[in-house]
Amino acid sequence: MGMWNMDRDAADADAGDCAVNLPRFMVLMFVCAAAPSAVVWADGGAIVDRGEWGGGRFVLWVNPAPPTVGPTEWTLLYSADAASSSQRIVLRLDGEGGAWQEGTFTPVDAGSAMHTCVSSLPFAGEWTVTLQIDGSAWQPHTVALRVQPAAEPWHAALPWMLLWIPAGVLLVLRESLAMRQSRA
Amino acid sequence: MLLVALVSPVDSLGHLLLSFHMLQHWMLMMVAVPLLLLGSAGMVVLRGLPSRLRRGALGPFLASPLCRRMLRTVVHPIFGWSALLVVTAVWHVPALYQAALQRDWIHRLEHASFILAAVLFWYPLVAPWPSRRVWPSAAFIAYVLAADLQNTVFAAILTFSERVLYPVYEPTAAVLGWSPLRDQQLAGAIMWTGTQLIMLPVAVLFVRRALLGDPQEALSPRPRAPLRPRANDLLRAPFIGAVLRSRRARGVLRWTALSVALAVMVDGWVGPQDAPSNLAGTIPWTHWRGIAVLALLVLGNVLCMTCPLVAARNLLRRFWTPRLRWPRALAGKWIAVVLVVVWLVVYEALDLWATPAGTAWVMLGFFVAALVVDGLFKGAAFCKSICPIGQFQMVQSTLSPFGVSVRDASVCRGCETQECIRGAQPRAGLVPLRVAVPGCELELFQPAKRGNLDCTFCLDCVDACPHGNVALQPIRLRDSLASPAWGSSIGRTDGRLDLALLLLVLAFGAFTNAAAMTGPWLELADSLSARWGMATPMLMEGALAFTGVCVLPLGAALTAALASARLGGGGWLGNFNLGAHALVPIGAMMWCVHWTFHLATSAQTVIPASQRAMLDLGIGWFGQPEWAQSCCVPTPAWLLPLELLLLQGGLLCSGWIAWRQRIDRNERHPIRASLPWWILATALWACGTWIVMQPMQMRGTAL
Repeated sequence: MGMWNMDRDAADADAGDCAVNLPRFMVLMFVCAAAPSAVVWADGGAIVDRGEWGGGRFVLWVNPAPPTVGPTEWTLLYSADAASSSQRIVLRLDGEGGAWQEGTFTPVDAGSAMHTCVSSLPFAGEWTVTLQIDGSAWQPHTVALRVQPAAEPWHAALPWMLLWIPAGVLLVLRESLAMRQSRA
Repeated sequence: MLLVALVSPVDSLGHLLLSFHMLQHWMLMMVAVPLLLLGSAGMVVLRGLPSRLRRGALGPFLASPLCRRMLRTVVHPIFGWSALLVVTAVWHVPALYQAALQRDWIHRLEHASFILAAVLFWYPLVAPWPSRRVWPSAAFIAYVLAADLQNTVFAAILTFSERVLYPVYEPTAAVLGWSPLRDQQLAGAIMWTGTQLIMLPVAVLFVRRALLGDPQEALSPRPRAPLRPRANDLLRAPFIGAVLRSRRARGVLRWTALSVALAVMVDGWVGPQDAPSNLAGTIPWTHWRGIAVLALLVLGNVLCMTCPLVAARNLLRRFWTPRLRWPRALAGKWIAVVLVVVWLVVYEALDLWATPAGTAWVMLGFFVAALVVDGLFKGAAFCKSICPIGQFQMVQSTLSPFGVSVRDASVCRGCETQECIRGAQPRAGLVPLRVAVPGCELELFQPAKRGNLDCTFCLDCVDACPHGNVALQPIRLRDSLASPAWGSSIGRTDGRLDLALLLLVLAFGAFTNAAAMTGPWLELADSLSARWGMATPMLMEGALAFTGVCVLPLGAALTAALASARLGGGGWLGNFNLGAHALVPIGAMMWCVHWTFHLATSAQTVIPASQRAMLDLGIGWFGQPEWAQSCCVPTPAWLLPLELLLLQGGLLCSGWIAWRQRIDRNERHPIRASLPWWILATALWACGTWIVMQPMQMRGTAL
């Protein structure tokens, strides 16, 4: 196999002049843009509660932090004896006015201490989060949580909406530089 | 290495244990970044960019003395060393470090700043080709050792601290059976020894270079071979070029489109009249339109190239030769303007997207009209002056990156036979031709053609040219929309009111068509029709659509033209005609946003509709219809940012064209003259942004 040599014809030739580069470039850009950001970046979240319960130690996170109305991801790191850890862990959420919902934590991998559960919080206010091991004699563990109203959709989209301003500044700079250089 | 650091369990464990988070940062800063720089990736990426982007967009910046000075400062060793120190110090402050673990965006910022600081630190050391190290090797020994020393200070604080510095890890480490303090000590050890494992060999390398000489310093610039000019012709590209060049392949594409169109029409008439379960309720309105705009954005007018009407017309002309010429009085875009308005208004008033039989009748109408017009008149009068879909395609293709144009103008100057416009007979030779081909039926003479306007990408001119001098190559936006210079068969763009009206109707039509599926629009139509005692909101929806595609554009563009004439000089009509061209990009992007929304949210609807159609034909191979595919598919998270970016791209492009038009006309006050059109484009952008944030009627789905 030959050594890669930057001075070869292929490298010297102006690769960018070849029209076939544009589709390749666009495919690459598409692949980069389509890469799921959640895979690459951290999960985030804030600790809701931690301590000892059910014969083991636990930490409970919620994401987004602070929790807002809408889809909410709960993560439970729970280390206990084999008997407890193999049982179903239930998440119950009780809100004002008697509203409630339940979900079950599922381990991220078989035998993993990390469990996740996704819920959808319908309204803002005070909520009580209850952890319960199905069929266990352990008392359920409860913690209070304040849920914030959901952010307006345009709040989240605002950074995307305003990108034209820096892009516009760059365009104006580019044009003025190009005009100055062509005059010179 | 980036994958291992960011996607592997190292990343997940980094949330639970400080030591793994430290390992992740070490991998990013001390391994991944130097390897990236050793690969000289920056120059390879730069050279690989399309030349228009590299020279057109980056060129003025790279050639600017100020930018060069700034770049030299940024890649200076002192700057790089300082950046590493500051970034390391800042992110080890407990409050910031813990905030990064709780907020996604802070964590991203942390990683980005680590990578950037590492690039700035390693750049002067590695000096990727073609840059040179600015300090002698001996100085870099001190550079590396000083960096190692500051790293040692932070690592020692972590290792020898008697309390947990980042309490966020206390519960998680405890649950995993780790002592939080031990975890912190391990993190300090990784930071300390891991960095030294990299830094010390690098220091030794520079000691060796200081003693024996740096091979990079001994290098003298090699004489470079002259740049070999390359053609920009997509027709010469592998595979896609062969497909596009082949007359037979283009014919196969058209006949395939014709077969699909016939299947859609038959299903529209005999299938269930529920849009999501009928091919006529899904393929034309969701798939065909979405693919059309994407093809326009990445390539060109591919949909006209594969138009089924052309296949039917060519079949007719095998048995029937038209003898009449299209009347000169009808040669402009006036008929097209009226038909586009009717098309957009009727679409909203009759909810064509929801009536499969209506869709099938409209398609039949297109076939009949095309066959009658092209059966009576020579050339492609239907495409050029009548077809509303063709007008849409040809107008939006002015933004496409590729266009049909000549490779070498001097070859055309010496050509006397002009087959590209007159047609060619079968011939042998360097560019053989097996069958007779017509010249350009849209009367675009290649050497004088400008941009993509009125070009259907039929590529007959490519076949006809005996010199192989017609290419599919990148075109400049400036030629298509900004420059008022004369173009073959089009004339001067600032002198064509019919063309300006067509552009305005299509630009405002994009916003009207998209707004008509939002909740507020539907509520307005309902409330107005109730107030006026109408039995159904059909008439009101039609009236609103007419206002959006006709009344509003005329009013807004006239106002802008009058203001432009007053501010910058010139007549209002010239300003009106010219300004309409500036609105094409923002309109095109709104069409793109709207139709890619349908494609992205409803692409799978064709599966159950096809399964149902197959079952109706007694073909059970495709299984029972998966009706779940007709609804309930969540909107992808990337769609809204993409829509917003496209709209902003359209806004900037419109602003640039409005300004460039005035520069190319040597006007005295280019900014003042283009200001009204900037305001109009910005208003349209704001409308588009509002539209994409509204709740949408999920047309073509069962929702």
